[in-house]
Amino acid sequence: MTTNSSHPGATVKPRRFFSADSHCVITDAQVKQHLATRFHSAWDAGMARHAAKQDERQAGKRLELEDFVDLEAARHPGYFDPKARLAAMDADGVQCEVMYSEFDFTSKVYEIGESWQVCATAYNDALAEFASIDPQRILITYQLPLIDVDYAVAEVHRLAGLGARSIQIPNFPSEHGMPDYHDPRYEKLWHAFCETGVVVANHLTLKNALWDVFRRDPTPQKGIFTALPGFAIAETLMGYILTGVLERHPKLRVVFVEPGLFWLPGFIRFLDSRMHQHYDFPGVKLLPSEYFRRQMAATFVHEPEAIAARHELGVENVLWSTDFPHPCCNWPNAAAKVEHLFAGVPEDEIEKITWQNGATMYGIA
Amino acid sequence: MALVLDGIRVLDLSSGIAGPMTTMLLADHGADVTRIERPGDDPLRAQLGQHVWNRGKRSAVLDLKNAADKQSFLALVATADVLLESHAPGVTQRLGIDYETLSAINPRLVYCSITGYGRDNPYSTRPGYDALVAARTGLQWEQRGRFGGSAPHLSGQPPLFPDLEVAPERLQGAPREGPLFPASRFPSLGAAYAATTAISAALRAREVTGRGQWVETSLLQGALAAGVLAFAMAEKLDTPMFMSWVGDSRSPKGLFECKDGRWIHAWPPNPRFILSAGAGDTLNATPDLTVRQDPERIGLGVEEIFVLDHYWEPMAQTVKKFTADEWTAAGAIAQVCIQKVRSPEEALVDPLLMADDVVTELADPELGPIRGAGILYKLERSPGAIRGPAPKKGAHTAEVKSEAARAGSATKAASAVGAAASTRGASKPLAKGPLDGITVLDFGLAVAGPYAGQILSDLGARVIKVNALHDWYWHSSQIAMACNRGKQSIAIDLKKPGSKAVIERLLGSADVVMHNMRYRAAIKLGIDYESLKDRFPRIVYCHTRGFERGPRLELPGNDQTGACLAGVEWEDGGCARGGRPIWSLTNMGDTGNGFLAAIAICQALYEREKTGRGQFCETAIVNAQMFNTSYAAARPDGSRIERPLLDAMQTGFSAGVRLYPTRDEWLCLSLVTDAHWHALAKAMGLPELASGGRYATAAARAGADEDVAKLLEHRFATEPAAALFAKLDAAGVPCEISGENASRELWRTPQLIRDGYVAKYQHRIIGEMGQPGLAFHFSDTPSAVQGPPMMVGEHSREILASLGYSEAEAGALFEAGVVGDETVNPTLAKTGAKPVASPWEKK
Repeated sequence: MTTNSSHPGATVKPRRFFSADSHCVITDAQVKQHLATRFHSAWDAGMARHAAKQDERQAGKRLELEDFVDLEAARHPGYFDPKARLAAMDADGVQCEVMYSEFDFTSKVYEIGESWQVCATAYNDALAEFASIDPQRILITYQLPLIDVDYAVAEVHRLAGLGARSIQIPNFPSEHGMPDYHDPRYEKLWHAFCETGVVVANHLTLKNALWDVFRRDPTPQKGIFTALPGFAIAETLMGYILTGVLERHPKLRVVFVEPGLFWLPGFIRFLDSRMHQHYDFPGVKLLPSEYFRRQMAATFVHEPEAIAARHELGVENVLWSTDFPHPCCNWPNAAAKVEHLFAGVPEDEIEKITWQNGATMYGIA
Repeated sequence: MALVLDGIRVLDLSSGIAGPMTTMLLADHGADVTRIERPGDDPLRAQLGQHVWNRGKRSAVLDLKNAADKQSFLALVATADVLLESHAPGVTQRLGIDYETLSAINPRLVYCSITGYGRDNPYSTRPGYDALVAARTGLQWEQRGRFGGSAPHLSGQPPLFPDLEVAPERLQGAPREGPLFPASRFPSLGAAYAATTAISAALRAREVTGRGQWVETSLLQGALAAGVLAFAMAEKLDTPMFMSWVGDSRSPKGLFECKDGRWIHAWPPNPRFILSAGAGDTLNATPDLTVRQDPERIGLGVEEIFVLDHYWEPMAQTVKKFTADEWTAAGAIAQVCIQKVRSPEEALVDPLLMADDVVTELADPELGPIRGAGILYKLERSPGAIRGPAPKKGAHTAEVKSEAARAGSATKAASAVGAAASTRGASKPLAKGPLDGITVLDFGLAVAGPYAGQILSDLGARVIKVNALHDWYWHSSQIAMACNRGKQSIAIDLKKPGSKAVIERLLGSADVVMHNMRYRAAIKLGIDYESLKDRFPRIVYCHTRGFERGPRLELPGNDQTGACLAGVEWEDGGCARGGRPIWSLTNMGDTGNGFLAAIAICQALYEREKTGRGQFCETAIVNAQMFNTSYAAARPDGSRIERPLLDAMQTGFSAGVRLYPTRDEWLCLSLVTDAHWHALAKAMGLPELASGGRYATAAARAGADEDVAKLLEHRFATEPAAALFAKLDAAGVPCEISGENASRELWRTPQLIRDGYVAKYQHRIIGEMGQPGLAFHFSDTPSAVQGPPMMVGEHSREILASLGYSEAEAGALFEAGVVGDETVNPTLAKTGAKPVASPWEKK
């Protein structure tokens, strides 16, 4: 037993943690190190267009960084530097982190134009380099645009060859003019994920329609707006389950990252109930809750409701995370916070949620 | 965007190859280069490469024997920063444009001379053409290595394994005895690298001292730089691990013909990968077949020649089952160095090279759109830019003359500034060379990285080689010694926690950090640029790679992969005329990478003298190899534009530029003008070649090249080379004997040793050794070879002391095994001490 400095007197059990969601920054310069010079201007222009669009969406109002991140954690060099990151993880008892780069490249890539493929490849190469410091500890999530499914399939195989464990795809392909995931064109993509064993990641992102809420949100930190993205993921979840994607691809594994576990059990119960009403879901043979348990998982940060929801969602289907360095981030008090959050939970369940589920899903021995 | 040489005005009076190549590199980074060309025809200007090398320059025709033109020229000199000339020794004095004269007009002028052999030695008066310098220096005999090894040959010792016989089809090079004519213009290449390095270093020195100076190099030094791996002389050749199989002409070099008739180069030629991956009906490469995981990988030792020979046949048969592209893809999966041997034209339409600026497209005013070598090194704040195509000769004469007229009135003022400046730096004499006062941390691996460090040492920098404790193994080899002389070595176990503080202090003492490891390895060591730049904003950081940025970036690369991609092996083997590819032992991929890195570093240091800021710089082996084949240009569809092509037997380009067997030795001709031909005709009594004869003109000879060659072959075959040489040389025919033992003469010529062209020194283990010497000379800040190849850990104590460690603190670091001294090497270990095992050593 050790004493945690931030909670004087409290004793905490030393644990090794598996954080299923955390973040790092990849700079333009790092991407350009992997990108042939000719495409640098296309990259810069694309990022500038994305920033301009973002300005337009925000109508001159800013979402300040301090509203988005934990200031202390975000100042840690480990947000940017992989070597320092290992030190930050060590300080928090975190053995492995599933890491997502800031911020949702799969939507930025559409602004690049015709050079998007080489840029996307270089972006993933930069992610691989970040993770290379210790690929057994930094489990980088690669980013996959779906502009061209053949490219996406080839990239899944290439990234699997580089040791990829999970790949993020857009939550709302329709926003980018792509068909939804039930479309036959994606079948070979799901095959590629199944064949390689790479996890499909759907991290909470901002749906375009939500920017209207942002502009109307009068609260100082945009507290109405920032509470909504988790719910939007319901559409993505239903897309996988109710159109038969999971039925057709029983080996496909999908993780939802910080959707908010307080609503998820009730929502899945609601979906189950509709299977007995007048709705038709051709090709769907099991209950949504059964598909969820068989093929899905969801992550949470410091959320007491997640503990309450664990049996309904499945103890094996929930993954603890630090969300370093975002606002509700545990760092650097993971051990104490886990002790507090999991008070009264049987030890084997704590072990599963804070370590084993992630280790199994992401292939850590 | 501002470039590092913005505002630098260069006058290029050179002809030939090395000069234009040098000023191309300067122009690509912002220098304003004006070619000052002679009136009349210059046959060397007609070569295709000039359309690549002269891009982005201006061309003015000035007759320096004409008073008005001379006046214009001197006015230009007054405002110039760099002048480059390639006249034969003595000519500049006759023209009144020698260094003494011009530096009096402009003391800030960096005056660069590229001669054939230097000014003051028995070779100085020999004709300075690439083929002849390659003959005179024995370079043509080093192309495929020597029977029994290069090092024994140069050392005058008996060949190794004299009884080993190898089937001729296993050997690289044309199926005949004797020297090979390389398509690569090695002497000029080496001189171009050396001249650009020297000019860049002199510009840095000028920022410190306020004065320009005379910098010199030569094709002889270029040839020696090209031969840096081949030319190794040692007293105790039998020292364990010193010799390798690489220099033996009988060792297979990993070139194999594939199913589709194309060739691949697998280097080193590890049997396990090829035999395992190619065992079945489909090529089955896996990451498990990496070299590092191969317990039977080919090591450095001479005895490996037997292993290579044993496996040659099954490897050749296995390679033949699949295409070159299939093998290249398989190599990528297993992280094995394999590439397809390509022509320069194929390289010039490679979209990956094009995308990373390594290939560029020029709107040539005479040829139309052409592809040529592009930007070959980059600085963070100077990405390079090509200002335009090569101008027609004299396109800017009027513009330049009127500029000279304007400058003429300002000449006096400029001189006054120069004189004032010349006193400014008097307190900083740069006694060790133009890079005196600069400390370099060399984290380089193999040859391509460390060779850059060796150049910086030759320029007077203090170069600290940061070694692992087990590095003594690699550093015992001739190859490592060829790129690590004059450095200091500290041996550190980077896995030990205590090493971090030592590295941190080293970084604090450094001006330059350089390496060629994969970037992710640098991140792991905490020496990536992102980790250093905020703490050490003055550091110039140089990273070099095998390949361009893009999908090939993470592949393992080496000299050979670059040579394949750029067309070097294709050209040197005469493949376009039916030959087989060859990997020349005087290849300048690794060493060219080292030179380009040194050039980028010198230019970044030059900028730092003005701004106080360091920056990131970069190049790659494939970039150097593209420089090495920059004599080629292609049409945008990849079709060839006429240029000299080497014949399949690797004797030369044409009847006038080739090797001929005589009754005893080989004779090399390099005829350029009709006058040369007519002199040959007269000396040999061949009226067909004389004025008025059948083959009197270039056009007539070109149309009957084989007949002309046969004529000469027949004529030369019956006479001894010495007699032929005497006759032809006296008649003014450019020729040399390509002597089997010519290279030995270089180390026996006192003037060459005196002037540092060749170096000789005592080595603690291998006794007296000889290596190529300085590639450049500086009049005001002369540098010297700083010492023999360092021993791993040899300077650990003095380096720790210089970093402020007390004797007790240093002792603790040795005790804990964080730092080691030279006794990590078992040869130097005290009795009973436990040497550090090398993971590369074969058990």
